[in-house]
Amino acid sequence: MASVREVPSRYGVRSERFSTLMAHRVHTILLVASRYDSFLLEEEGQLAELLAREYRALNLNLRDVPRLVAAESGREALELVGTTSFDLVVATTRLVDMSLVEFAEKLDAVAPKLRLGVLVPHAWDLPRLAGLRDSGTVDHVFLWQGDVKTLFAMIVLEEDRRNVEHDVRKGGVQVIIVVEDDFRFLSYYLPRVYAEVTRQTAEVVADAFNLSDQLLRLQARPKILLARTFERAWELWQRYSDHVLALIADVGFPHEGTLTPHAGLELARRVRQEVVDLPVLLQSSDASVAEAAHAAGLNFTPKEGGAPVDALRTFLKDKCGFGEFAFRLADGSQVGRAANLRQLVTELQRVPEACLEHHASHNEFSRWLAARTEFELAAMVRPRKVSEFGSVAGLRTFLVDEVSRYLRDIQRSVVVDFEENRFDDLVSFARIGDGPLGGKGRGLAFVQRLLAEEHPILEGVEVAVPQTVAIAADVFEAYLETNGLRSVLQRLSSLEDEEILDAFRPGRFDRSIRSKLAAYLKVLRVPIAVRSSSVLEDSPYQPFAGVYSTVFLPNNHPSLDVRLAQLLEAIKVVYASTYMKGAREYLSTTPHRMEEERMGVVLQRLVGSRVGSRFYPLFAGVASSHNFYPFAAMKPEDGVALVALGFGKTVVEGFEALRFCPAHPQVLPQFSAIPDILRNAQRNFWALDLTSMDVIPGLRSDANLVQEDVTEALKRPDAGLVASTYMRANDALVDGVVSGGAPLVSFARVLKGRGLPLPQVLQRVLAIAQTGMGIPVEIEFAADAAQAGGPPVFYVLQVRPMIVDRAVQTLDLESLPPEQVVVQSPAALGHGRTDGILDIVVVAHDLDRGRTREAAQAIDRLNARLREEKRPYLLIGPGRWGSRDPWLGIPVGWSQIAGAAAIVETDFDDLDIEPSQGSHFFHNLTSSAIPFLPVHRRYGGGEIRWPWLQARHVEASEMDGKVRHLRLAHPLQVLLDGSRRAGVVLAPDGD
Amino acid sequence: MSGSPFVQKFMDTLIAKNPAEPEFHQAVREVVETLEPCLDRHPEYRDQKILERMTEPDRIYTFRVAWQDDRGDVQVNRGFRVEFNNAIGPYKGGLRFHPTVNLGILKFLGFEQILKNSLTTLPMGGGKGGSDFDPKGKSDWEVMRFCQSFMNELHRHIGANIDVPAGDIGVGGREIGYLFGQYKKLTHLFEGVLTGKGLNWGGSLIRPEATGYGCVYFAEEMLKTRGQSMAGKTVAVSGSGNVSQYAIEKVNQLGGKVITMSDSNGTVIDKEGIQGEKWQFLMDLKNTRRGRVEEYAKKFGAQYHAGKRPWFVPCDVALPCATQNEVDGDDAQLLVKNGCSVVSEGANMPTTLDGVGVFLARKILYGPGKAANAGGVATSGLEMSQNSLRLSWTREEVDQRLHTIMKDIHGACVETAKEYGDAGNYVLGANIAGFMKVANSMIDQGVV
Repeated sequence: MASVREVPSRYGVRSERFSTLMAHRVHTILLVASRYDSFLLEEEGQLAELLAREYRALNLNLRDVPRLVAAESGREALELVGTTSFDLVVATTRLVDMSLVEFAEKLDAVAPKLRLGVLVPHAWDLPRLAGLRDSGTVDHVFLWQGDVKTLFAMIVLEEDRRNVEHDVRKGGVQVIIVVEDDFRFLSYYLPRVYAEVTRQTAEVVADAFNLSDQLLRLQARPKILLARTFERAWELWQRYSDHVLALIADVGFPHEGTLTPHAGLELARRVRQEVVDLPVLLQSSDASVAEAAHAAGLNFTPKEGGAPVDALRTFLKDKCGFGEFAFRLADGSQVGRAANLRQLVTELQRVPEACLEHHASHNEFSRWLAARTEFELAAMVRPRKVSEFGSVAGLRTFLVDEVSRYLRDIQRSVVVDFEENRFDDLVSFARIGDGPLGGKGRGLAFVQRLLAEEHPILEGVEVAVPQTVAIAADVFEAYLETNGLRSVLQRLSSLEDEEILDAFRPGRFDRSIRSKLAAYLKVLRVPIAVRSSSVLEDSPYQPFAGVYSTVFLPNNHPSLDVRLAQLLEAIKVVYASTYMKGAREYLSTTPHRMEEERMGVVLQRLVGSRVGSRFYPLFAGVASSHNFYPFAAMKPEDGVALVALGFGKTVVEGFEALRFCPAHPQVLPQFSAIPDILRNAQRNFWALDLTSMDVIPGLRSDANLVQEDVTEALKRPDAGLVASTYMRANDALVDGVVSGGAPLVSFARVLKGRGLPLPQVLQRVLAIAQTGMGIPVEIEFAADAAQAGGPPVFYVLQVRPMIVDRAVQTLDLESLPPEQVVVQSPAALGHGRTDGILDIVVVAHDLDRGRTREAAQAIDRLNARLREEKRPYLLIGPGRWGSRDPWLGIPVGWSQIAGAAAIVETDFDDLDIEPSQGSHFFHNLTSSAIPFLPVHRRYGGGEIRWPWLQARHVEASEMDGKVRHLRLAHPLQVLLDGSRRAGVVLAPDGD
Repeated sequence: MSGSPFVQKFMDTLIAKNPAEPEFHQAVREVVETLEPCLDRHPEYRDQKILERMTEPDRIYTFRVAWQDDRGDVQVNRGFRVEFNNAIGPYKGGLRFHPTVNLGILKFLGFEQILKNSLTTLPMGGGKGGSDFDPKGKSDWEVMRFCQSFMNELHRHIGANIDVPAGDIGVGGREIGYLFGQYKKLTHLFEGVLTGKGLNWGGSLIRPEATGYGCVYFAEEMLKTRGQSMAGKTVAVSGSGNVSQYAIEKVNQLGGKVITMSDSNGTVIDKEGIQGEKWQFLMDLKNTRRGRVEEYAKKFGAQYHAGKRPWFVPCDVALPCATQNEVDGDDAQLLVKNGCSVVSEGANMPTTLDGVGVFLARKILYGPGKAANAGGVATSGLEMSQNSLRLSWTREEVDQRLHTIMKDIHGACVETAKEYGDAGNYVLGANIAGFMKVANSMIDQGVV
């Protein structure tokens, strides 16, 4: 087997990367203004309301709109600062009780970290404020021109200032440096820069997966850093040069203390020395500078009227990557355009090599990606040059692979809103409808999220959730309403299952649902599973396993209309199954009412490969993080798994499957010797019949599944992973499929951690799921071997909390009255309560070990009689049950004690016995979930109250009383707490 | 427990010398009880203390087997080799790896092996060995490391002409391979020191076939004593595993017709005979697909009787090849009543004591398992012979020799039974023939 290619995860959970951005918000602003100034400020309306309107206009989260607290005087403001927490103080120039300078100084004394911004209601005040500005006590000064955008700019400027260091360093956020010393211009310009950058960022992140992703990505909008002098600008450049998206500069501003006419040109020249292609926009009211700017390859705009804002818009779109990506040749001719990452992938595969080379050499891909807040991808792409790949073709492959992988990786962690024109193979989990997803859908979405936080390659295997589309329960409700099905629900009890289905079948789905499902099928041309996902499913106390329908569709008819009809039909079958007799009966055993149940549906890409006319996974199974039947070195928390070749139906319906403990995969009682392997290895498997393309699903969940002989499956090229070959000539088993012998399903190689190390993967996945859910879990899984050089894939099909018996869990076994305890075992196996046992078959502990065969015959006879009478019994006896060595125990076969409801094993008088473990007998015990209570002097202890047994009524006696059948008047109770391995048999009251 | 004063006294002494070995006691008691007529007829055996000498192993090795498990922890097991008796050839007997292995069990098995091997007429003594190592739940690497450590000591005591172990419970082809590899490494010798080897490195052909073929050869020989042959006979076979499959094949080759086979679920009756393409189907069904015989019935339209054994079907010859106690007294009565005149046991003790009583009373040709299924043991001897000769015989050659061996076993049983005045009693013949060969050899070789 070739070694598995490690594909490292480069791109983690995006929401996590972005959720730490913009950590510092301006939540509360203290607005200090005289009544008059307040009047001026609110001339256009209530400031708070205007501010909210501005946020809404820019599609920002309204939760972030700051609260405004007003103070009419400096004194009042200073008092408030002492008692309330503020993030920013904004004052107007004229305060009633003190000068602005005085206020600034006092504020600095009481709250040195609190920033002060000044809104200047009258332009004539501006020159007066110059000195104040230079004193450093005022941070932001803006001219109020009756526009709330000015206040917004002040807020954002403060927020950017606070967050820039973290967001740039940790989040890779970009920076735009704006150099401007003209307050009047700045007061007009800066709010518009914010608005424009925010708007354009919103446009480029419009391809977000869902609303929350979009809001998160908006937080990664480029920061605007303001400088008024050459020195400050240079300092900002040096600190953030790797993340500077663009430089926007005035031409004349202070340099070395004096206003320098061409400082902007000089700044541009120096930054361009370091980054040749950095986008620079110069703006000046002196039009004569234009020529020099153009000569230096810089963009220029005159500061006239609306020109700067128009220029800014174009500059951002064309030069800073906010527009569509225009694929051009060196001569400027356009050869393609891409509005989003998906289109970028398509175009990258298509455009001429010269075009690729041109853009790559100017870092245009990385810039465009950065503007889209795709910083990690931008960072990955930016330093790569054609020379590294030896050819442009190599670069092309790299870019296509990298962007595709990025799209896949980041989508793993999110549930995307299904959009017809955006659904493709890269979407891993989408939802249709707004209601609850139901238990299965919710579990899958959650585990997908958990897995996305991990390395997607665990133990060399790609671990994922199969591509899933969840149809939320509101679609179900709408279906009931639109099709008048509520009336059917009124008379359920009088209807047969088929009649209920007939009532559901003619219904029509909403046009938008049909259209979305058609879009889904256009993309998915592989078999799919249509599974129930009811809102009551998967609670820890009600398993609902197998209660509702699952439909498998080959989905291979040439006509999309036919495929769509089949899918809709399948969904209707799942909907109707909500009300089938079995489901209603099941629900009646729970505290829920029929009306509470609502059905979500999960459409899942089926895991597997096409083999001839069949489709199936190499193997599938279930695993639990807690094992109620641990033995040998196993601990309950090591978990347990059942696996079989083909679909998991083999496992869940109790056909021949292999049970093993992921922590001890070599401990296989049912495979302990070659005869056992030949007897127990899987013979048949379930596959999807691809020839049944016209089949309309019915009530039977497995309508399209067929059972086949494993010999066919063992001819698959990847069968060697799960097969061993029995070499008859020398009675040996060889791993893999080799000629000259008979292959069988052993899972030998995967259990040894080769090729697809199942035990290791299961341990990891169970641990992740259990940690995530906080309680023991069960998962269903399926896996397929490596294809096309990729790693093998392990898919989690379902995850749910483990079912535990609350009654037992809360029972304190130790505190039971001793007179009630007939048997007590500290090493019991199994879990739960077994009631209603009125019969006991007991073998005396002083049985002569030479007579165990005779005892086996006696037990056989009693068992046959009790089974016929349908009386489950408690079996108690010495020695290893089912031992092949008659000197060690009573050599019964499983069928000879099959009527036992619980088994107690103890020592012979003359021989201490190690508890039964690892035998085929033991395997039967675990598969049938029979409570097993070992009581051994040397191994764990425990107690049997022989005198109590001695005093019971003897119904039948064999071997001179060595084997007795006792009959009770009232039933016994067997209680096992699997988590602590404690077990008791309790005497009935009155016995 | 019953028994003559001699048996009782002998057993009392044996138990006193070998306390806490109940399995060994029981094995010896069963043998001694059946040998009483022989001992009465041959007082020299008592004089020479043959039973006392035969129940005391030549020597016993016990040794420490230390090995490292996959976690790097050191594990310690105990290894045994009981070299019981080499009067007629090198010690020969299996190795058993099982947690219940102790000296008493190995002595019990080794003692039985002396007589089994002797009955094959081949030069093989008796021995047994093993360890309390449990291969269950061990990885391949752990099993390999254990086998190597086990051989690190055992190699001093075995050799192609000294002691030739084979497999047993817990020791299959894989373990034999690891043991043989380490033996070579330590001794620098490639020799037939173990049997059950792979075909490419000293193993013999016909091993899977030997028991089934041998059982039919034995039946053929029994028929010859009445001037009959297998040709034209209607045969009922039980089981459908290795033994049954090749018994069916050999019956077909000899011109008989097999009309039944079975598994634990039920019996197939194919009046036309399980032969040709149908036999091939059976081979594939059981060996590749590991299916149930019911499928055969469905495929070829044969009768299927769920939950039944084949013995209600009228036949000339019955070959119980399935499992222990599959022919009880009632079955035996029915078989005889329906005209069955030959029973040759392919399985181990398939007939209950009641059943055996019926066959013996009705004087039909009854070949007990210890003689009729000795073909399996015989191939071990044939593997040793091929190793000594540095030859690999063809299937035909091995088959031919197997045939000769079964004739010889049959001859020995017939002769012995005749000598003891109960001609045709193969049970008596088999019990005594093996013993006498060893006893006589011991006398010849003096008191050693």
